[in-house]
Amino acid sequence: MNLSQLCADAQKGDKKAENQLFTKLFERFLPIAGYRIRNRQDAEEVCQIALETILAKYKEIEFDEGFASWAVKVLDFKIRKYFDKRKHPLQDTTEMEGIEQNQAGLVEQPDFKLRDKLLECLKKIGKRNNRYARIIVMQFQGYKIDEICEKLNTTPNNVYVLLSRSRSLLKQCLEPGDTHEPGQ
Amino acid sequence: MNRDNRKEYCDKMLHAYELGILSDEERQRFESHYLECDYCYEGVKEFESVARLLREDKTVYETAKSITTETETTSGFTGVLSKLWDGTRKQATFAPLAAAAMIVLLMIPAYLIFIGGQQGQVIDLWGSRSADDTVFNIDPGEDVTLEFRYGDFTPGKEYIIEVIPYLRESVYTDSNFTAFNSHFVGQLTLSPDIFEDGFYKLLLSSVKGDPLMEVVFEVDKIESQE
Repeated sequence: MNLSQLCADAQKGDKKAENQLFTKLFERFLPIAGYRIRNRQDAEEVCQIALETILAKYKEIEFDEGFASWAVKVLDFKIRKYFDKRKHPLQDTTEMEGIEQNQAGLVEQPDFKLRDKLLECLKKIGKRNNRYARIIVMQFQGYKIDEICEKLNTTPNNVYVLLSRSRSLLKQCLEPGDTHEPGQ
Repeated sequence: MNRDNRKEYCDKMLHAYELGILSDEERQRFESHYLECDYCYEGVKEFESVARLLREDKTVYETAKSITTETETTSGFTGVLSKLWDGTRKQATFAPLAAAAMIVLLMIPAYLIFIGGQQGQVIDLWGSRSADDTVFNIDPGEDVTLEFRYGDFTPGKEYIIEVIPYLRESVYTDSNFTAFNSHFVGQLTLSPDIFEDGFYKLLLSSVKGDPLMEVVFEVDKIESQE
């Protein structure tokens, strides 16, 4: 069952649907928060805070753009608030208390085996077409899609297609036991 | 959106999202879709560790950068060579011309470095493995931006940053440095007047004074044209 349906059922008082809704939301929120907050523990806590807000309000709201859009906006707001709290520690952001203690938890170590294989695959792909490597470099430098298109002198659609193909090649190359050159 | 269109949209947007290059608006649109889409959720989950490395790992950046440099150099030369030596008859006719063209081409990078043309006034201290064997030519008429990467920085947290000439006192200190972007790249813009020819150390410390990162680099000031 999709989120909107679960939400509609939960709004009518279906407890089972409500449980399913929040379990699913938590699962799907985690990667979103994890992309922006590097500390996993903090990311989990921000998701919990967002879910608390959603739980407190979802029954009273009529969703113009759909439940998922609203839920994403709530999470986005909480993530921004989390970063604001770090920039301005004296500001009143009571709900973010407790997260402060996790700052000492340093960023997780990378999976070195995966990293070595990834570097190897990047080189293989780069031999055929260096545009993917150029995009990787630009994303590190903070460029967004429009600026990347301008630099590569191409359209967003072409960049999306290039990325999609490169992702498939990477996936293929990273599979255990891969010995062939990507794209062959 | 029907099933085929949906899959097409997922495949198209997924990696751009994973790399964090979508605009805020496009990102939110994708995330709203992703919450409802099992295919995207599985994709994101499956590639989570790889995507994290692609976005955050310094060695990935260095490898990607070396690929772009290598392939540009190789394809540039082979492209020029194949055009100049295209066929045996042309080879005899154009060989002296090609040789002259190659000499000019080879001289351009050296000339650009000589006039300080490398990346304008940005001193890239994180792109090369060892900045200390690179001499950065700086123009005394323009501000200098030091660009460096510190992967373990905490957004919003303040750091002490210092620029210290070899065996001398610091020429620049900022105890409230926070200028990192979302990709952990810090930027510090300074007046060219603080630099003289020689070695410098960029030192990043915690507010308590514990050193966290240091990079050594060499500066060579270009003579003023006046």
